[in-house]
Amino acid sequence: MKLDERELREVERLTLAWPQPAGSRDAEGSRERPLSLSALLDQRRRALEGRVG
Amino acid sequence: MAELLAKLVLAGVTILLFASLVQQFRQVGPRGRWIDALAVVPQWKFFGQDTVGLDPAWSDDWHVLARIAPLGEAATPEPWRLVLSPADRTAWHFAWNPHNRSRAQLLAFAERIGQAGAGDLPDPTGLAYLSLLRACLEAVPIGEGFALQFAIVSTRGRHQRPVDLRFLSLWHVR
Repeated sequence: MKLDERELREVERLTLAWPQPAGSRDAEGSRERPLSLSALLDQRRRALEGRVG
Repeated sequence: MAELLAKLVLAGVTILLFASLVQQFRQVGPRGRWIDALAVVPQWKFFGQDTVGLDPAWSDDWHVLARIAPLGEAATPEPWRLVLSPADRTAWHFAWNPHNRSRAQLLAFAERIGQAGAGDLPDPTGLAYLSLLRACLEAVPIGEGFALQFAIVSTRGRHQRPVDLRFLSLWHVR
């Protein structure tokens, strides 16, 4: 069963209360420096190749 | 001689059919499996053999949401959008439901990450995280200068159900 309007508002409220890691503003994965999916996929591919090689 | 052989075969088939019937209703242990050592009895299961138990976490429903925001901390993110939820099944889904397995797999990934807890950030290069991120990026198109974040939420029950935010991802772009 999908989330209704009340539940989506509750998620908004919970998001605001979610603990943000200290110094996250400049960290990778912050809104200042978002991580790209393609970079993550490359990283995974290299890790797998390293494991196989 | 032929008659005796036929009776033995019939008896064997009867035992196997009975074993098949029994395993529909109860879990057959290693002792019971010797009857079907060659594994010729079909392993179809029409009923759940394991009891769910009293742990309320067994009845959690898992949902994946995503939101986008302009890069930088100043602007307010857009509201959450639902990406994945346990879908209500229609009668048609009995015959044709091609997305069922991929949806179930993604929700299983969400459950795995969500159960790990808030303090335990999963590896962003892990299969579960990447699969969910990709599904969110496909469901919520993001333009240049925007980033996307996804959340994993659990609910319990059907009416006035409590909502629990279980995981909040990093921000991502394509």
